[in-house]
This record gives sequence, C-alpha cells and structure tokens, in this order.
Amino acid sequence: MHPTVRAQIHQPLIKFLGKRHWPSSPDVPHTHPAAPAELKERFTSFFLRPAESQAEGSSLTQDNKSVFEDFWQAPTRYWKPRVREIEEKEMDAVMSGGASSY
Amino acid sequence: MLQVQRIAQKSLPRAGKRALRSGSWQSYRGLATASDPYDVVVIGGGPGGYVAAIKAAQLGLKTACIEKRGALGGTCLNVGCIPSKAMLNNSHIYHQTQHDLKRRGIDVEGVSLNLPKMLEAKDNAVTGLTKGIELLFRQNKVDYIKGAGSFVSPTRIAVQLLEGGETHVDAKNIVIATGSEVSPFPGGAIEIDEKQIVSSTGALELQKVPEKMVVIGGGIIGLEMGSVWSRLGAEVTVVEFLGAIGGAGIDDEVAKQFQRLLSKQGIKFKLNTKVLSAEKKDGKVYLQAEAAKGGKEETLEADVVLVAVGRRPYVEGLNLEAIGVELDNKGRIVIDDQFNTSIKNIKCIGDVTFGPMLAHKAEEEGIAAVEFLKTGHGHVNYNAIPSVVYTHPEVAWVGKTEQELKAAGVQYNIGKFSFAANSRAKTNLDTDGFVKFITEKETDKILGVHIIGPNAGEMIAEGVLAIEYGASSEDIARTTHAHPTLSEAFKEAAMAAYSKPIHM
Repeated sequence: MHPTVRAQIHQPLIKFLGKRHWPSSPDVPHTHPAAPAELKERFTSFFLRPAESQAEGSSLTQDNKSVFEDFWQAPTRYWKPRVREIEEKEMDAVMSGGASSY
Repeated sequence: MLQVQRIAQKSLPRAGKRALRSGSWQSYRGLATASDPYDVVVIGGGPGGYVAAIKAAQLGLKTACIEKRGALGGTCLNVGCIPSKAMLNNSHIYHQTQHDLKRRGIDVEGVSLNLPKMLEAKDNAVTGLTKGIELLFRQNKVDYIKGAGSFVSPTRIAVQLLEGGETHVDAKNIVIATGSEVSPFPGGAIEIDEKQIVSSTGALELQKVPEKMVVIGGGIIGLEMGSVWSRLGAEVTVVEFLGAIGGAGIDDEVAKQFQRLLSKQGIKFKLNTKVLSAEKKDGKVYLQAEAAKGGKEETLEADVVLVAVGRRPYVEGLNLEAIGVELDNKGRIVIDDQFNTSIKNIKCIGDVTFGPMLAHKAEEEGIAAVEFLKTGHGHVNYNAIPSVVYTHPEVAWVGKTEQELKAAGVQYNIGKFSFAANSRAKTNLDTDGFVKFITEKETDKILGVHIIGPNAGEMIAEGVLAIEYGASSEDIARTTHAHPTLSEAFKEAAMAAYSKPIHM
C-alpha cells in the first residue's frame, strides 16, 4: 500500500480477493438465488438429475466415470487413441514410393 | 487401406477429409455426423450466448454458437440497448441544441431534425457492432451456425439453416441462451402492428415524429423511448398501472424525483391507471383507460402507442418438451445456481431463466456457466448487478432499496449528496439529482447505492465494485476522488453516510 496520513486508524472493510484459486472438488449445486420460493422448497427432488449432469459436465476435465451413455463421454483415450498422426507429405511419400520427396 | 480411404475421400464431409489428410482415422466412424461432437454448443448469440461461446473457446473447449436472427448480439444489440442508446444520445444532442445552448452562450440558428439520418446513424452503430462479434468468433475459433436450433435429444440439435437445408449438431454440453421477447398486452386486448401500435422494436423505427404518443408502461424501456420521441417533438403521455415509475428495483425516493424531472421536460404521467383496450380509427389510436382500482373510464388519443409492459422468456422452436426441460409458471427455464436445467448436460443463462432481464447479467452468467463446465466453479453476485435508465438525467442503482430494507427489518444509515452542490455539475449547468448511499447501521457496509443525475450510469460502477468487495461507506469516503469531477458527489454521499459531507 502507498503511505497515508491518518487522523485515526481506519480499518478498511473492503477485501481484495486477489487471484481466485478454486478448490479441487466441484461446488455442490444449490437453488438459484433468484428462483421462486416454491422451487427452493422442492430443490432436492427436482434437481436430482442435474446433480448427475454436473458431474458429467466436469468430464470435460475429469475422466473418472465408469459408465457412459455416449462414446464421447468416456475418457478421450478410449475413442480417440493417441496414434501418431501422419502428415499429408509423409502419406504422399508412401503412396508414391518416395518419389514425391524429390 | 490408405488407398481405399483416398478413393472414398471425395464423398466425405469436410471434417472427414481433414481427418484423412492428417491420417487420424477415428473421426470418420459412420456416425450421423462425421465430426466429433462439440464440447459446448450455445443456442442464441445474444449478450449471454456470444459471451458464453467466446469464453468457452478461450477455455479450450470446442465451441459452436447457433443464432437464427442472421446477426449476432441478440435483442440488446439489434433492437434493444444499443440502438436505443444511439437514439437517446442523438435526440439529447438535438434537444439540447434547440433548448439549452443559448444559456451557455452559444447561438445557433436553423436547427432541424433529419430523422432518416438519425435512424441511419443508429443502424450503422448496430451493424458495426454485430460484425465485430463475428470477428471475435473467428479470432476465438467459435463456429457460428446461422439457423434455428431445435432439440432432437439432450445431446443433439437439429438446425434449420438460414441459407436453406438442415444439419445436426452433436454436443457434450449445451447452453440455452435464447433470451426474451416483447410481452404482448395482457389478455390480447391490444395487438402490436409495429406501425401505429408498436413495441420497443417498432419505436426504434418510426419514420416520422408522432404528434401524440402514449406509452403503456412506465418502466425502463417505456421511459427511455418516451424520452427519445418527446425530445424529438412528440407530446408523450406515460400510462402506468402502478403508483410509481422506473420499474422493479428502483428506490421510492429516486422514483419520485425521477418523475418530477421528466415532468419538467414535458412528459405527462398517468399513474395508477389501467389501459383496457385500443381502437384504430382515422389514422389515430384511441385508448380506453380507467383508474387501476376501478373508476371512471377515459379515452386517450394518440398517433402512436408504445406497448412497453415487459418482456417474457423466449423458447419458441427449441422443442424443449421433447427432452423434458422444465419451465416454471412464468415460462422461465428452471435452473439451479450452477445454471443446470432439469436435463443433464443442458445449462441455461440470461433472460430465458431467473433473475433480471439485463444484458450484463446474462454476460456474467455466460462466463460462469462455461467456467462451471470446465472447472466446476463459477461466480455471479446477484446482489451486485446494476440497473441503469439512460434518460437525462440518468438513473442508476445497485443493491438494496430503502423500502426493501425496511420490509426486512434491517437497521440502516442513509447518506445523500446533491449534484447542485457539486462543482463539476455546476460548471456543466447540469445539477439535477443526487447520490444516495444506504449502509448497514452496525458495520457501515454498503447495502445499496442509488443515483439520479448526470453520468449516473457510469458512476454506478464504483458502487457495484464497492458492493462486490464488501466495502464500507468510510472506505469510499477515504478514497481520493479527482477534483472537479461528478464523482466527488459519490464520495460526499459516502461521507454523509458515515459522518458528514464537506460541501453541503
């Protein structure tokens, strides 16, 4: 902080948050703050399925589920194995018996 | 094997060809769509949708945005906030030139309105900005699909392309951001034709200044558009069912001052008044109205009637019923605080769901929604969302109103400072209005800031920041504000809340 002259010590209420560091586990869903009251009352039953959805949404970064409805929900390594990608130039070389390299 | 693939390449879609060129076979698997599913598909390219799409792409997610308007930016950019601000700004300059320059020592003659040119300037602003978003999409590698999206399944969307034909898009996650549309008059008693009886969209396209204009609804949209046409020469009457103008969330004291100042500008108000019906006859519109609590009927004559009774969520054509996305009794898509709908993998943001129908709220939700997808965390502070009315003077607020705190039994302090005592407002000959702080009595924490006055829409940003950071009025009051600026009124109001202002 820059130096200041103070007639009295003022303890600022303001909190500078700095760079956010998210916790490692995802937040637990709750009722939306602007949702109507009746929805808040039946939140648990209503959002049973979205709770699963949240876990699935996280599958963009976390591949830790064992049962998937669609192939792309599985970890990428199961449906897009890391094969060495062949460049077109290399493929041409193979197809032409090496002639395209010259 | 490679030979066979090469022969088949001609019949493959582009994604398949790309896959073959690169030698990675797995992309072409005989699926309904040849390409990999998108990580995120956003339906709707308004302020919520396009921001969500860009943020998703920035987070490394393969992203597409489906928009059926033919231009990005949604209601806000095409027929809402942006064109209305162009008209508000230019009509203000016209009105000021006619009525205000003389006292500033500027004599001008021959001032006249060129309405087609003013409308053209508005359209140019809109076009420039929509094209700008397309550029941002290209820069961030967001696929822009021009068409109307409709759910086939929770992970597949059929898109009727604007240029003809249909395609299917697969997505691991979908964000619904379809926004809102103008609410029709309750009961269907008044039909909008966008010529004589207009919505906010038609009010931005009037080809001549009406002699008499009646605005049904004294909320933000009604007051802004009423101001535009009043400044351009129309005799404007605002009819409001409630007893105050300004719409939901405005502080009572501010609303009263606001009505006084707009009345001084020539706008007439009929509060506590209910419009019953409208009849078009001989080029005029005749409105039947009565006191809201019942009483004698009266007839209001107008050349143009603006119906500004609010907006409603827009879900038409999405085929939500096919996949079971739940709506509430107001037609809003039900979500939790992570924007999840009742169907997994589908999130929803903006006007089409809970909360105020504001572009900047939708933008914040768009960013938070895709951050939840990527990280499991996101942030929107619904207590720190500002509202602005872009009239003159402007009105802006954030946080709690005095009436809300009274109802909740919260002990509070008030700090107010008038622009009449602010040096910069004096030099600008623009001294109407005040800044009002509401703080928690025990802690001095700022609970609400309400401004009516010049530049209120810019000044409220400081109040939003203060509330977001949990600041006290003393924190603001002990922060140096440049002299001479309008922002000193903000500081002095903060001083008034915890101690005393200097200049009043």
